Amino acid sequence: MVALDSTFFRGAIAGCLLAQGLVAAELRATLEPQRVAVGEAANLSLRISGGDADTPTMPDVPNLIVQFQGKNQSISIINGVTSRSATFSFVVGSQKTGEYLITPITVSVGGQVLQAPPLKLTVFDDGTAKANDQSKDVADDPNRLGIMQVELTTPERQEIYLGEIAPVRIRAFFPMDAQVRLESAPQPAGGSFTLHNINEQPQQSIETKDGKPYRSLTWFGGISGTKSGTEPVQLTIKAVVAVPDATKPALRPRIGSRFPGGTRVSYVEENVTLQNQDISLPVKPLPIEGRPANFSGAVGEFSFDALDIPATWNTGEPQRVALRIKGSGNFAIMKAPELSPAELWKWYPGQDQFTPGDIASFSGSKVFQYNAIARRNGEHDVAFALSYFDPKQAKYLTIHSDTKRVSIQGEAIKEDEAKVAEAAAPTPIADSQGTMPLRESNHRGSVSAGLAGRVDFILLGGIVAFASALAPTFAWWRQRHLDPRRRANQLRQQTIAAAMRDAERHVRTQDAASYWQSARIALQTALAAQWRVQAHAISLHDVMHRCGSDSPVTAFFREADRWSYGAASQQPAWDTWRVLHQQALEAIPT
Amino acid sequence: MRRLILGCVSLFLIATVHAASFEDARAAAKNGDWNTAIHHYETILKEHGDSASVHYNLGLCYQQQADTGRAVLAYERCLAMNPRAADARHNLAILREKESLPMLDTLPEGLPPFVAWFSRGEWTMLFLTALVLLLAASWMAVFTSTSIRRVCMAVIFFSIILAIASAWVGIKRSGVTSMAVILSSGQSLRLSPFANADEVISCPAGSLCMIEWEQGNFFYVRMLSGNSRGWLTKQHLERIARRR
Repeated sequence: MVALDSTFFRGAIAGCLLAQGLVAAELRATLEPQRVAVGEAANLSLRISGGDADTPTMPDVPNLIVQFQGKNQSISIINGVTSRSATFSFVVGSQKTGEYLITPITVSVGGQVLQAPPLKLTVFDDGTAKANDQSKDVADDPNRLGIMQVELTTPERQEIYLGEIAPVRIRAFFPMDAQVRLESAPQPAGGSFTLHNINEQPQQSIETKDGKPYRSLTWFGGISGTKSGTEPVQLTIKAVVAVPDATKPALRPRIGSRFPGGTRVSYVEENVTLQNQDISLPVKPLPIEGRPANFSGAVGEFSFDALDIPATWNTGEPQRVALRIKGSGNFAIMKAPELSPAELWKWYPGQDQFTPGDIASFSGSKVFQYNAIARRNGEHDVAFALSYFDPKQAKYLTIHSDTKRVSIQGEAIKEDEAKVAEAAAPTPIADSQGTMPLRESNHRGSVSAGLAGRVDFILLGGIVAFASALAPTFAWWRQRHLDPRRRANQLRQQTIAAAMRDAERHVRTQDAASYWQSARIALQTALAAQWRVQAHAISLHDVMHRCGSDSPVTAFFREADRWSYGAASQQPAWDTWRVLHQQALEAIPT
Repeated sequence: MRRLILGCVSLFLIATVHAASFEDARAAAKNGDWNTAIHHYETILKEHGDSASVHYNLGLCYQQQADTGRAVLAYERCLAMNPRAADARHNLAILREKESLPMLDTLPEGLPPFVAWFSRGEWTMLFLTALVLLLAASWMAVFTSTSIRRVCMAVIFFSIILAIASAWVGIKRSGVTSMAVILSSGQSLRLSPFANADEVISCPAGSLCMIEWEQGNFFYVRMLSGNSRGWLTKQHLERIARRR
């Protein structure tokens, strides 16, 4: 069974291929309908049978819109004959009335060139042509990509003051059929105004403006003038707007048509910078007259909402005070109100925190906390004082919080002590970033850290250290050199040595009396150092008394006396005498 | 005599030019012309050497220019010369808090707090002063009478203690000469001294590190925060202690 089926299908396929080769290729073009209104789509079909072909190229007819819709393929077997066909569908139409001749369309099928007969499309006006012309006018409209508006949310205000932040509403309108991508938030175009507190996410809505629907984006914020005078308020927004291509209008499906499609809308992207129409806003300088001494730039309407002042104080001890101010105005540059009476307090910059009350951060409340030091003791009524400029009343106002009675203990701080306390307190803050200011003068400070590694420093340090070490060495040498006992001993040693030399000389000259005299001097000098007596005063009696009668020293003195005073006629025994002298010298303890 | 007069005049002129440049730089900074101020301050440092005030003002200018790395470097150099500079310490703390940099001290751990009262240069000068005092007292002790010699011996004892203490502190703080600041952001420590080596950790501008050794165009550094080690290109960091 399987073999039979396989044989059958092989034969059928071979037959189909053979039959296909026998059928001639054919091209048939149909246009339905041949009359359409302006902007409507007609369907153009190209049916190619007997072969396969690529998508035909449509002839270029001026003002005729042609758009390829798709391709259908079919294979049919009728009485064993297989036929293949492909149908290419196009949408054609025009935005202008007239008769359009579609020149013959040529298609190549398997090397065979087929040509369809020419087609004629009549486009008539059914009253929409005028509307299309209007759309062309819209295309020429400079605001077709969007409109921007800026308006004060307090329309009764016709002018603002320097430093005042005026609340504004910024709106951008984009066409409903546009696709929009914002490239920037609203920003001032000139240098006359600055923009504050713009909300990051704009509100979105659909609104009708001049009879046309728009998609609108709304921001809230505040503007403030940078200089006095009447200057235009110019804000811009950058966006990429994609709008339908006016040069390639779309065709709508024909009413009652069994073909569904019109042409697709093609978009074109444009980078646009929307700018509002100029509105002039006079900016007035803050008056100098009546400006309080503690005015710090607050412009708006403010009031004290809450305060926290400790009831008991000690002079010189810092304590934290806090207050909250509510209202509307330029909270951003508002500084902490002072404690009053001012002469009673010394205070230091602290912290603040703003809580917005509306989307533009124009109204809200701000909490200040800082440290203060009481200078004088006693019972005092204290309060916070804030001076600001009220633009509605066009004058400066100074408001005071509720008073609070505080008890301050301790001795009054003298001015010097106040300065000391000030020096010990946190360093005053110099600017908005909290950094300390530039130094006014150039103090070099100490030497650099690399000094220790420099050769000249090492050389100098080494010389100084060496010279320092020389001092004790010199002192030791000097003391040693000038010591009388040492010098006496040295002299004694020299005397002994001289006497010994003389004795040796007398041995050589065979002069026994002189020998005994020199040898005696040497021995007497050595004994004198031990006994601390005069050398020449030492006699045999002294030696016998101190050293004993059997001492070599006594024997030497006895022999020396014998030879000095009566034994000169005897034969000298030089070797014996020298040994005796040596033994006597060695017997003296050193 | 003529040479002496000429020398004095030259010194006076140099001092005058120096002061004028500092004033010019300060005026430019006050006008918000930070680039000009930075140029002037850098010129002063180049021509006249280190100055704590110039480093401080330079740091403030760089801080205004949002150049965190160079601002930290300048403040650290100011503090290296004068650790008691409250303004530089204050600004550095603000800068580090803003840039989320760790609050590090260049003083090594384990040293008593009084070590931080003086810079390493000041400790070095103290050491030298102690040596000179020792020299004077020692020689005076050699040639004076006994009563004065006792005073000299006390001075000698004090000088020796001072010299040993200052030398010990100087040696302990010798690491400051290896300390450096990473200048530009987006830099990473690398595993090896090659530009295409794997990254170990990224280091923000203004981070402190210790240079341990160098090879080619790279330094092997240890980050003071976290103790990470790795190689970093030389051009992306600068030593706090300037080399001449």
